[in-house]
Amino acid sequence: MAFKAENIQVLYKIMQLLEGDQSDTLESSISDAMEILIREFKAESGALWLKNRDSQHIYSIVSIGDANITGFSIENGQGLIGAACESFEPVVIYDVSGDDRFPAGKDEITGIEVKNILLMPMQLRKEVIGCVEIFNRTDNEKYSEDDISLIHSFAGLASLLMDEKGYSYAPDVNKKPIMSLRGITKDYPSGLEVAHILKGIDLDIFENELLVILGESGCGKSTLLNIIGGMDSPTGGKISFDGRDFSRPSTKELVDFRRDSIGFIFQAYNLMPNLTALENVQFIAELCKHSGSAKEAIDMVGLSDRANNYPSMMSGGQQQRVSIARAIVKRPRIILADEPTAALDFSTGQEVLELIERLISEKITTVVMVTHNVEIAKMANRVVRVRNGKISSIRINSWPMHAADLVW
Amino acid sequence: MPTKQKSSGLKEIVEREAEVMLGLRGDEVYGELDKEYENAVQKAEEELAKGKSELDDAVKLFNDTDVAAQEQIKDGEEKIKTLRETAEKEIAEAERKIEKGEKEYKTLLEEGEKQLADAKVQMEDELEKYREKLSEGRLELEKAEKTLKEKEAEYSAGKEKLLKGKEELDKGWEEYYSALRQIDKKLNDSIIDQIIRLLRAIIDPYDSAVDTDDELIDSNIDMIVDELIEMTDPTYYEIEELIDKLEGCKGRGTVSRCSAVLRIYDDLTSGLSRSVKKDFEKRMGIDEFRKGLNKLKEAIKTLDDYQKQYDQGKEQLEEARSQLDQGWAAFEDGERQLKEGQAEFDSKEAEARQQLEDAQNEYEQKKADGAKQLKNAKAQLSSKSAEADSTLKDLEEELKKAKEEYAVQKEDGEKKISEATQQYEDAKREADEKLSELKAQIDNMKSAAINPIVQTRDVNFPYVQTKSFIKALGGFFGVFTPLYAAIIAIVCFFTMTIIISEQTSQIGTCKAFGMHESEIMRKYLVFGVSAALIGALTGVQGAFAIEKFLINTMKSNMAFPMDNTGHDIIMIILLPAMEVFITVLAVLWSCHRYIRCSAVGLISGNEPVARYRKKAGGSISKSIYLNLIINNLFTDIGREVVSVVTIVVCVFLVGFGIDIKLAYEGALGRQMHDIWQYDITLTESGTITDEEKEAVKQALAPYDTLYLPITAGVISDGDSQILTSMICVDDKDEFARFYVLKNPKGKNTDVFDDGVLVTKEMLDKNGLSTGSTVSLVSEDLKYSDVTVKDIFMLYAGKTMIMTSDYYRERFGNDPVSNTYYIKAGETGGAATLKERLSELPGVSSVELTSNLRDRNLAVVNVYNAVVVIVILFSVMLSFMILLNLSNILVAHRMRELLTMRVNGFYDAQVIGYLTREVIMTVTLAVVTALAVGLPVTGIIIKSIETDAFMFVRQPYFFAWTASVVINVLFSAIINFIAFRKVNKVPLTDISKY
Repeated sequence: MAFKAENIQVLYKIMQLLEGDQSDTLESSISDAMEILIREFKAESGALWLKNRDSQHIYSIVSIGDANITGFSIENGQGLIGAACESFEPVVIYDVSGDDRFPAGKDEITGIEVKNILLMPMQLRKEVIGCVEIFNRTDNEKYSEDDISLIHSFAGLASLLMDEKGYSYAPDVNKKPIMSLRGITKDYPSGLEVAHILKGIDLDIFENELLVILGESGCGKSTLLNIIGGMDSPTGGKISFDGRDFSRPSTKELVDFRRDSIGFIFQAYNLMPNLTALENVQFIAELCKHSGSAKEAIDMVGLSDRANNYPSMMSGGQQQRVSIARAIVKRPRIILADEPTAALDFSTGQEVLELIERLISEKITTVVMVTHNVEIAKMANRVVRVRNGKISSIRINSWPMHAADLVW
Repeated sequence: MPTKQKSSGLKEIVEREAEVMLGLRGDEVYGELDKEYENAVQKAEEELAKGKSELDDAVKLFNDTDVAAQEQIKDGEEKIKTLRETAEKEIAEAERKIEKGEKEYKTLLEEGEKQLADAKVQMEDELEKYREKLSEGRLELEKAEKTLKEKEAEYSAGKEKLLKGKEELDKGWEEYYSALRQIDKKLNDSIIDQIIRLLRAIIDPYDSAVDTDDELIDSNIDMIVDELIEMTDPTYYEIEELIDKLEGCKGRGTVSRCSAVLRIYDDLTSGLSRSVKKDFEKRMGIDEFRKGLNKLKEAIKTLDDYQKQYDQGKEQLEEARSQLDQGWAAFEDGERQLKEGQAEFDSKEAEARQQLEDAQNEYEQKKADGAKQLKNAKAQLSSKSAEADSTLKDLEEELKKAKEEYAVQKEDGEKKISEATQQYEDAKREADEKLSELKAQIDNMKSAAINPIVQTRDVNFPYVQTKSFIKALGGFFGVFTPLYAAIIAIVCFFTMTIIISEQTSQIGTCKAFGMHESEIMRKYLVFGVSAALIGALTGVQGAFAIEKFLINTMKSNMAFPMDNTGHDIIMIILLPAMEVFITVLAVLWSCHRYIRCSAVGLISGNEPVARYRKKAGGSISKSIYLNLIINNLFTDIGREVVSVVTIVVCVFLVGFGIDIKLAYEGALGRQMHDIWQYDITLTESGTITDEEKEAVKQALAPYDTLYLPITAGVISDGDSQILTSMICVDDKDEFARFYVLKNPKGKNTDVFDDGVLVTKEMLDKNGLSTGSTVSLVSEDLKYSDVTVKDIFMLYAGKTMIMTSDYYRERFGNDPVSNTYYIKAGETGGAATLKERLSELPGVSSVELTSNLRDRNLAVVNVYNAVVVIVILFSVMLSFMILLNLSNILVAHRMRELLTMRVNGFYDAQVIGYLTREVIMTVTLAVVTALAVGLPVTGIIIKSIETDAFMFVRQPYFFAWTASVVINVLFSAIINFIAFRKVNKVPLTDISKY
């Protein structure tokens, strides 16, 4: 199997990513490597599907590109994916128009518009354990033999890695989406032009999960967080919250939403400097419909002995704990945390993350966290990477790390 | 008091000098008096000569006017004559034109009637011709209809016949089909199939197509067996041929099929025919079947003939029907044409008759119009004629009136000339009398002794007034200048501090780029000093403008011009210098505070550290809001103090401004309405004659009046002299009806027989206490000591009240009544009465009590101006300070406010949080302002009172309520402006604060 020089470089990068940092989660490594692959073929999106023997289902464990495919599953043998996961040969369709497996040009399972598609089976020894899906190549080029070899190699390496790490995807099938975002766009006037900050985001936020949004500065992750938190409104797209359409809420609905359904943890804590820790929590608790006890919230974050201290008398970590207590006292559906550890040193940052981990493990609420720190993403249930106003990848951490084990 | 000693020494010198001069210059003075007398004689002669000259001019003017009036009357008479002639000529011309018009009208009427008659005859002829044509058409149509109906009857008979034939034909066909069905029953495709099956069974009983369970085969098994027994090869082929032939018979019509099968039957060979024929015969009854079939064939021939006949008949009938239909269509067409013709005729007849009627109407209209025009012309002529007559009559009437008026005016003129001549004579006589009287007075003076009295400038009214103004303004600005200086200091310091505090990031950047502290400080010093200098220069310029404005307001009331008054250069320099100094101080202080911090801390905003509470402690209240607000106030104590001070100053200044205005006007009001119970004061002239006195008395007879002596006096208290009015009272009860005397405690007091009453103002300002004795100089320059018995409330003017007996006792002569207090009665009557009384001879002045305010208008205007300036500047300064403070409050709290909004506080709740803090600040400030402002205002008011005027010194509730309301509203507006931005900051900016 002879590779072109460029493909050798790509394969080398992929191998580095898959085998490089041992501390990375498997999903994270595969996600990064697959991103390279998708970029190489100028495809809009891609996904990695994995079979599960117990449930007799195939699950999408990594999703790359515009289309969000994570969380989808199909029965073994069903549809094109099912067929690809039974076969040893790749399936390539250069034009799906007229193909009855793509009604109205859309994928039957995901409902995503498809123009062209490649499905490469993931073979492990003599068994097919899943497949790699690449679709909507924008350059409309045909896959050369060399390209197919490259994708085949990626599929093989990914299979070996899974086998080596004893990876098995165990989906939580009972997860319900609290909020769904579809085709979310956000434009801002920038001088005489319009800056497109978000360019069509599809995202589900599930109950009791820690969703981490990663991305470089200016990629749109904070804007996305603001839209989720009702602090900003999208230019286009649909939002549903608890199954209800929440795309164009009135001002009152928006305030009530922030008041009763969303908790906030800020990087700079944003406490009222002239209220004690307890009063800071009470101040918000008195506002909400279904708030909990402020004292219990303070107890939960371990600040009972400092309840009557003013923020200026507390360390950054303690202030951030008050901030968390203030968020959880509302009993919100989602807590939004914007770089909660950015202003803290390692150990206090870790304490704060442990507290957030506890919120998830005790099923208290869902946390959506924006961070620059890729290490923190390892404790997330799902990691959404935003790039240039779009979701470039979503990966599921089957075995998220504990906050105490993180090192940065 | 060196100045007072100096003035006292001067007075003594002047008094001594006066006595010496009187001794030395006595003759000289008398000579001057004689000279004055001669001058008076000369002046009187000149005045009389002038009067005589004016009288002569009036006589000349009268004569000239008389001649001119006579000429105008003559012109009028001629004009009327010309007008009459012109009118008569025009009326004659108009009558001639009307006559001509009447003739033309009659001719036109005759022509019109003839044309109408001709048109009617022509129309009737044409209509008759049309009517005849229509009758002819109608007759032809009736004829055609009759023919058509006859043919229609013939057609109906034919049709009936045809229908009968059809019935018979249908019956024949029915019978035919019945027979055909019977034949078909006997031999149809099914039966042929049965035969074929049998035949097949015969030739091949084991063929798979042969069903062994077939009932037909079972029932004919014998026949089949027979045939099989005798079956030979040829027979076999014959049967096969027979089967083919029979197959060919299937699917045909009944007759054709049956004929074909009969033919096959007839052709059956002998070898085969035995059993098969038997079977045929058995099934069909061949002979009978053949007969039936032949009968059918014949019947169908007959029926075909009948059918043809019927079809022919039907065709003929249809043709006849078509012809009839055409005939009817032609008839209907004719009928339609006739109807159209009739309709056209009707329409044309109506049209023609309408045209004729229109022409008739037009003719009648024109006839009526002509008649009307003629009538109008006649009426117009009559009206014009009447109008001309009326105009001429009016003119004649006017002329008559003018003549009468001329006579009256002439008589009046003659009378006035006579009166003027009489007046001249009277004036001459009066002048002679006065000159004689003057001569007598001079002679009397020469024989009397002279006592000199030196009056100091204290009894010079313009001096006293100017001094009062200076004192009032000095007192006013003595209080407000330091106050304003303090406000300006706060503004400068605070504004500069704010500007620099907003530059922390830039200072940090400068530090990070390596600028020395001195360089950074220099930068802001240059900025601060240049801003302060620009402000100072603008302020000085503004101060000059305000000074000019105040001088313009006051100068009408001043005794001397104030245009080129000097300026206090030190003060002009001092205040701007202070402003620059404060600014520099603020820059140094602020820069020092920020420069000490690290560059990173300044850029990130973490330094200097905010002074929040650093001690844990129990909450002040159970309400979190209240705790939060109180803690906020303590945290931000600097801003809070400046806010409170600013509001206190603003409440004080506005309250004071309104209070002082009300206090001044209140004093005037109390004097005019509560103390003076009369409406008018009439003062007789010093030279009033007895007759004039009598005339005044007569004029005032219908009114309630009090006649009493009021003179000017001078209280000489050591070196000081006080100009005062002296009122002498004969009847205390009567006086009490016109003048309410109350002591400062508000209790009634009375005029004493053994002393005088003086005003509260004299008590306060001139030190005349109860029981003291003062030296009084009367108007006729007599000295006496009087005792002050009590004090009474009077706001405007210095007044001393005593009984006439006491005056007589102290000065040795009776006071001469010269003043009336008059109650004018009905409202509005006072002004009219004043006008009337002013015209009386011997009256020096008539004043309405309500004019007191007008007389003090200059002072009122000054206070109005000062109050406006004070309030305006207070508001401007406070606005700047409070807006800055509110903006700082919002800026400092923005993170908290955004956090609240993000956490679901409504916009109103967020504003409410800030508003509670502002309410607390404003309440604190208002309470302080009232606690300090009320007593201070009392003190200031006392210090700025002018001489001979006392303000109402009690605080005015309205003034302070208004001040509080204004300031609360003012704070609300400022905070509304500042707080507006709170809800406009996007929530997404929370990370920026």
